[in-house]
Amino acid sequence: MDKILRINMGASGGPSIKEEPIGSYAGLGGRGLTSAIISNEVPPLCHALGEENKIVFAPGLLSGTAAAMSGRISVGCKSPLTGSIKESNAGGQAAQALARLGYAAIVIEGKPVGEDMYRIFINQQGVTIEKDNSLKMTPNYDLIDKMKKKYGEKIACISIGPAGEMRMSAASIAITDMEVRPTRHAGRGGVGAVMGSKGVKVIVIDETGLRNREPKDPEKFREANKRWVDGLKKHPVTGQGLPAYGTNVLANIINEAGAYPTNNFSKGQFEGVSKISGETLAETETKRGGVATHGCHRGCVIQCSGIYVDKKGNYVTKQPEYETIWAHGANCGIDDLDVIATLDYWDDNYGLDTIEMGATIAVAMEAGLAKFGDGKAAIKLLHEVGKGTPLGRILGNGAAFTAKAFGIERAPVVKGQAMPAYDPRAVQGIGVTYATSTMGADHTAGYAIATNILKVGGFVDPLKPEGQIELSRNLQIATAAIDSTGMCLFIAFAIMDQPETFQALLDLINAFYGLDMKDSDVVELGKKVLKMERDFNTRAGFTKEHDRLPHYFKKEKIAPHNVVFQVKDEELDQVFNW
Amino acid sequence: MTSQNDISINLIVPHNKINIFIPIIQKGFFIKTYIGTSIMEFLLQCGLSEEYILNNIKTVFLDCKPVDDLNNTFIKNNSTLSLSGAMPGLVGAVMRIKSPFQSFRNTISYPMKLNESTTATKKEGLVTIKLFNTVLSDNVMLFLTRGIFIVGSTLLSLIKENKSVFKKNIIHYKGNILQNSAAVTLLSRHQNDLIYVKVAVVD
Repeated sequence: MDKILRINMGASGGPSIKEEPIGSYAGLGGRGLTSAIISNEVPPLCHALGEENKIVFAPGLLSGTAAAMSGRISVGCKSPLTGSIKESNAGGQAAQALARLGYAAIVIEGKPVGEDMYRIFINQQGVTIEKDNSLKMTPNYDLIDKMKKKYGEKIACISIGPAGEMRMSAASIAITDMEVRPTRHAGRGGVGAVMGSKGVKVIVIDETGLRNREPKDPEKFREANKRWVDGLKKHPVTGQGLPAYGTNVLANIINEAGAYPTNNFSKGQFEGVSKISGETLAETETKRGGVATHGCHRGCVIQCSGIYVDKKGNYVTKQPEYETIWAHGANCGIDDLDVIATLDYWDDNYGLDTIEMGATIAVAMEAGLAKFGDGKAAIKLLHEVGKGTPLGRILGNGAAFTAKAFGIERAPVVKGQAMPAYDPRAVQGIGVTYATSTMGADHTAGYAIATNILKVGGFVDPLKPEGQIELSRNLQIATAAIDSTGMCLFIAFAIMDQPETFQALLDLINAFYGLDMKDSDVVELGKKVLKMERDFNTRAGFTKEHDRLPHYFKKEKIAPHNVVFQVKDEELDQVFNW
Repeated sequence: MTSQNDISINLIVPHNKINIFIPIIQKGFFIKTYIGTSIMEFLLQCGLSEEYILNNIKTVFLDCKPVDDLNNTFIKNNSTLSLSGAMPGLVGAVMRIKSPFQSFRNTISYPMKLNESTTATKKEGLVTIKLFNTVLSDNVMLFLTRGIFIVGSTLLSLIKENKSVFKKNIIHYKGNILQNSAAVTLLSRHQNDLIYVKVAVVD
């Protein structure tokens, strides 16, 4: 992983290819690398869909190795949804394949003249780019079937659906999973629209003959990986809860806490939660002959995904995530898993962010375009987006845009990006992260990382409540570092509770690269990434006034706790005061 | 805890069909107890071991509020108690008992009242119990075999929706075997009442 592939889609005479050494970006991976390239090379005031923006695909530092859970790929650009820097990451096979080919990143720059679409093929022999307008407006599932016919089954694909081609701000980028299905998405921020603006429909990576990257110290690496896997398997979240019920295991809990946004964030509990909970989802999948425990990429030991099938046992979609089930479920008042699974399938097929689309449909319901709870109407609205009708063009540009178009105040967004599945009035600390994240409202920006083990901001007594501001800051720093490793964020629980498992992760990195990295180095890496991102945003015109929740969160109480968001603006301004 | 006035039904359910109760168990069933009992004391009375409670029940809500001290949080009449294992996600971790991130939820946490009396009153009350995820799968059998209260209409729906499970000879009422149709008639008259249900599991 010592080279960067640069593809200039706007070169005279057609797209040009250049490979160069990683150079000054050495030591960075995943989000660290995407944010460094965007921050260094993209003019912050450029149009996100213009020729000066770039889109970067970067596997993590440990991707392509035998390290378990290392298959996340980061996608970075200036976001058309937020106008800020963006990193959105996904599972699937692409990170492993790219890393094994030796690429630290693919950078797609420039913009072709005209409306042609291109197909990029990468294997051990090199890179080819071909104009292929036959793929125009092909949904992701059909597209991947065509790629499998052309290149065989041993491929990993990075693609966009019609939403990306239409440059919608809710467009995602699909990454194929172990079954070569386009089910894993870099969803947030409209990254698919940027790929579409570059005229790139699909990047196909041939996995034939690819081998794991070799560590500097194979013996130490093997031993650390064993401790790493043992730690993940013995922890109750990563070893039991997630494999058995998937991420949607959270539904009942968040609902019980009164933090489960329902009917466009108008209340904190959903009457129909038990019909769409993780427990019910797993039971439904198992009863119908689907799969309740499954990984999204090879090398995953947590296995939090699954395969959702219909009543006859036919494939519908991968197991929808907690965020998806909430967005299309409770937030739209829908308590039917089959409807939600159908919406998930079409989100994946059209190439749309499920969180943004769920939030958008809820706003549309509040605007009177459909009734809360009407699953058929929700599916119809999603098809409007896929077809690119005038209404679909509005919806496909997200919750903020739709709220503006229909004159709705309750648009649950920060920096233009829809909030995920936790109401910040009930869980005020996550509101701090939503408000101040460099990415717009983002639940993964400050994850439950081991701040104590990392000693970010000094040791915190777990029995004494730490301030929300300090905690949000520390979590955001730690998360930025983990996002750079290519590790799935769900490792967080094992490394949060088990210091020896965190040490195993450090040992994996050190054994692989021949380093002597300590926890303090991890903290510095996280700070470095955040500083680059904040700097880009500042140059793009973002001020402290953008680090705020929508005003209605301060005045509308949410049931059952009947609370408003109480964190003061001056406190929010202290998050990045380190 | 039951009384002579309670309508009591015994069910015989095959082991591989026990999952039909999952929707009820996660949505909430009822148990009678003395009000003022601490959560820890109540769970011990329900038959859970202290070791299990401390090692496996990592997230607890009382009346929608996350709890941090099982010994000093007390059950009131009509309280709802929800029990879960350790949860993923930042907010999952935030909700844990004594979470290092508990400041994130300081406006909704159950207030700690260390000086409150720990003596349960002799007054009987009703508690709604919800079991989630691993706590559900670990304990569904325990609660069902010890007996729980279910609203008549809920039990009626369960029996109607699972006719193949509740076939001949498996519904017992006042010592008599009740046919499915008779059970439906009986429960139709008691849709708003609490029914005491005890399950015997057979292979």
